[in-house]
Amino acid sequence: MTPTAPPLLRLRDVHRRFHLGTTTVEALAGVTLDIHAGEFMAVWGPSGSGKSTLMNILGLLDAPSTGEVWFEGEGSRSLGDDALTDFRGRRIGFVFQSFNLVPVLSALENVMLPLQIGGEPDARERAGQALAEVGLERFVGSRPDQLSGGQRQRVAIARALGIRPRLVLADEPTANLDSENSRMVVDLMREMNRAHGVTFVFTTHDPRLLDHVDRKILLRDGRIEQDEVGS
Amino acid sequence: MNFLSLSFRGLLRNRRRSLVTLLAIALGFAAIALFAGYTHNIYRGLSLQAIHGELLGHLTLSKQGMSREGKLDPERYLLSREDVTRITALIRAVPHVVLVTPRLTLSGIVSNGRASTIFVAEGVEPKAAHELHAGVLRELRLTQTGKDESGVQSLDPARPDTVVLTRGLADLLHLKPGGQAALLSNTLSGQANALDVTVGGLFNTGNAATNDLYAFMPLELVRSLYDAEGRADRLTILLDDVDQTEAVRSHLLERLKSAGYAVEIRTWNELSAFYTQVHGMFDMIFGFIFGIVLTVVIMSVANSMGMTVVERTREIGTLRAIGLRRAGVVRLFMGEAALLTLIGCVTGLLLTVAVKYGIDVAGISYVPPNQTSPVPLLVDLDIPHILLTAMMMAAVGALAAWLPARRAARQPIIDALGHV
Ligand SMILES: Nc1ncnc2c1ncn2[C@@H]1O[C@H](COP(=O)(O)OP(=O)(O)OP(=O)(O)O)[C@@H](O)[C@H]1O
Ligand SMILES: [Mg+2]
Repeated sequence: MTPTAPPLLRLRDVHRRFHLGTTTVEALAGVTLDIHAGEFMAVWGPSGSGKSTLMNILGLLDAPSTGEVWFEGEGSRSLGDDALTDFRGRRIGFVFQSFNLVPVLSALENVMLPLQIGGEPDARERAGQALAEVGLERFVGSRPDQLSGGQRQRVAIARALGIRPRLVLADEPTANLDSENSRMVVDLMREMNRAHGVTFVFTTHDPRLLDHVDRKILLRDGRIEQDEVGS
Repeated sequence: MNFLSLSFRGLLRNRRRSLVTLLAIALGFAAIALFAGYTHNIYRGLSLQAIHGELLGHLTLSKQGMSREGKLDPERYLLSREDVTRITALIRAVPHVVLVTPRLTLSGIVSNGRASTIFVAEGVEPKAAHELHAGVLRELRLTQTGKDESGVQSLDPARPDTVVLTRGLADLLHLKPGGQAALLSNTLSGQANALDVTVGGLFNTGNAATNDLYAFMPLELVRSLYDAEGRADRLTILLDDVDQTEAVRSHLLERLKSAGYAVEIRTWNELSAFYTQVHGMFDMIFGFIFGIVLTVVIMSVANSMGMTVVERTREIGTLRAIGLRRAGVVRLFMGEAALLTLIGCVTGLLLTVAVKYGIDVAGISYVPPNQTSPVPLLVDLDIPHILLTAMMMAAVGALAAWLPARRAARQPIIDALGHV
């Protein structure tokens, strides 16, 4: 986090508008933001404030209506769909609110999936390591429906980390978990952030989960209302 | 775990739906395979009947123009004695040829002394006729379908004045085996000629139009009526393998051309109108069934994959997010459809074998059109058609999945992820 290092992600005056019939919703109304490698940050704010929209743009899943996004200096608009997909597959891990594991695959196979898509020859070995790191080595063969919610989200974190990403994005990773499991998931992410220097951005409604983050961004009506460093 | 196994497990998600689709494919496949097997058996029987039963052999050689002009000017299109000897020697040297024999057709009047009627007789060497006919006897013994009714067996080299008549012809003149008849005809030079003959066996052509017209006669008898010593209007060629028919024909044409003979050679199926008609009809029915089954396969696969793709929208969004390209999504679902179709085909094949076995064991027989006695219902395993069908179906199945898969792959990722 040397101040001179170029940011991992750079957003400049990002707007995202959705057209619903004749009305237009401006989900992001001019967001300018730098995210540096190794940061552990939370995005919070009321429902409808644009958190998910921002996360989708950070994850290169969606493109701004206007404004620019650079990932490691690369402008996202210069990449075609396949290149963008490959870029995500190599650099960005995703953790979803409802886990989004493939139900017919075991925990290990789920973690292997992005590695295999990326053509990684040691997929099995690396997936095994990632599962061990989240403390699930005993559940490699279990299907998602044989695991608890907290365990499923840990599999999802292992899946995100298996590719050794630069960035992990987690949109409401704890919304479907009880407070104990929520705590555990956030602690696990923090641990991985410290151990591997992976950048984490997550969103939440729960103020109790904001205690240990490096940086908190408060969104309201599609704008950054507060950008607070340190906890 | 690879993508094939992912496709396979995808099929296991909604087992009932996959099973229904699979059954539709299997039944369609079995319908095609069984029908192909049935017609294959029919074709085999008909080809035996034409080649051996009707004594057509595999190939018929005659002078160039004989088939069109021969009736108008018989003399001109007859092969001379030297032609017969030389061409026969030439053909005998060709691989796959087991028999070459001269033939001569004669038409004239047959009389019992009081009444008379016209006839058309096939002049054939008795020994060669037995050899030509042996193939059908072998088959009859194999399938045990009753007795040989062709009468060719009663042509006897030791009794050169014996003729074989159609049952209808014999009935017209109240002739019985062992009875005497007189044959009248013109010689090649146009003079009237007559001969006394003995009636040997009787036979049915299986066709009302010819059943009171045809006769088989020893070749030498025809030659002496025609006053055409040593001559023939065609040569009948028997091969050891029906599949070589075309190859031998072109080989022979080339050889004879370079030897300076202008000849035409026709194959047994060109000469057997009945075979060609039945083949044409069954091919049309086959095409019809094939079309219906392919339509059913396309519709059930498209329907099944359409539902699958909608159900798995969020998963598709997830896969796209973690790095699967659009083409990868398309491949995944097309693979799933192709796999489903192939498993359906294998199931269909098992079903086909079971039904074929059942038919064999049940010993069903039926009376086909244009025949008088029942024949057993038999179904062959027509492997080339079965393979072709399986390949077509898998391709069509994958294609049917293409549209829904492409739709799924092209939707925006954020919409797919937001799908509930
Ligand atoms: N695909 C879309 N189509 C239309 N409108 C959308 C779409 N996605 C988001 N919006 C709108 O944009 C605004 C911001 O939505 P967003 O989902 O980003 O909010 P959020 O902060 O994540 O809310 P929540 O806390 O409920 O998840 C909302 O008004 C929402 O209705
Ligand atoms: Mg949200």
